[in-house]
Amino acid sequence: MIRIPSTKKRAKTEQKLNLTPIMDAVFIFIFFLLMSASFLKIYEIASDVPIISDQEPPKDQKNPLALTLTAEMNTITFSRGVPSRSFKTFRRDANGEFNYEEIHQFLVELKKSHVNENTIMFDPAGELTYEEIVKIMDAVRMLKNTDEAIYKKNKDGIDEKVKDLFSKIIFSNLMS
Amino acid sequence: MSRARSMRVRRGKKKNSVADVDITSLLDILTILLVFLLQSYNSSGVIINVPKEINLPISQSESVNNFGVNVQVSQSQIWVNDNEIINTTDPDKRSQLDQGDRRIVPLYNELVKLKETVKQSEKLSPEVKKFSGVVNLVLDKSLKYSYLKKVMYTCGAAGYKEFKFVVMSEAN
Repeated sequence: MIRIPSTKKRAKTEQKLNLTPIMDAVFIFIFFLLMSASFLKIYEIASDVPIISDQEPPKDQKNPLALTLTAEMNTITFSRGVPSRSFKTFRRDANGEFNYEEIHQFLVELKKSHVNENTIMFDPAGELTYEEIVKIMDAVRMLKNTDEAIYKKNKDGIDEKVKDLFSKIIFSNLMS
Repeated sequence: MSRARSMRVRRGKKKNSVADVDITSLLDILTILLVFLLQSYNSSGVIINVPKEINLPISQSESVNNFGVNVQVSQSQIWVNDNEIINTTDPDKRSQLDQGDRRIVPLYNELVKLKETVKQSEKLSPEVKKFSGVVNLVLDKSLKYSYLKKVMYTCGAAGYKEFKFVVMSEAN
């Protein structure tokens, strides 16, 4: 005898998904990925390509600073004026390092008397490493918070704080 | 009879069990993730890939990066926008110099090709970003200036007039 199927609906039991082990796994996974990723804070140092011109220099400036930094293996020499003449030399110390802080302080003093000058011609020797060149550029480019404040008059005659030292670096020996 | 109906009603009712998920741990994860991502957020939007062969020098600079062509230089390889152009260990990708050993020919050709592509796009659509002439130099810190000079000269000769030396922050 065949029985008629019951019309009674069976109570459906809802399946609960246990998410706890998945969450644990995801947490460990995220932690692992974040630790293995290397987020480097990278910045830039700007420099323009030198332009060779056969035009006469502008005559409105009486005594152009025309600051030039010549970096040899053992010495860093600063020159000024047109034609260029050297006026300060720094040597490596006993540890074989340049005293970048001393160079920086020298440039801060120079900046005080030439607040409108931003350009420096950079002439490094071929044997210098890029790391040393970056250190020299750091000493030359920026005024630090601990440096003495330097002010210059803006267009309206109001004193404004100078933020950069000689920030416009031009590699003068690229063509040689 | 009323008792029988009551039982029928009781039997017909389903238990509506709502799935309770404990999201406390999930919120913990999200908070950690949010703090971490905010800390490593770069406002410039420029992504520069530093190959593992390149160790960037450390600098005090705080200028954020600009968009431009990325030239990556290690002791033995040169990449342009992550495409290997020169590899001294690969005979097919050896460096060739001209103009008195100052210009690196494969690098020059690649940079000119990229410049021309941008300039052609400019002509086709005015909305395309104009050629900026910016080159991001991702250079290994142990490279000698004599070699950097060749890279910089080549970039200048190819029409790129602004160098941006990519450096690593002291905070890393």
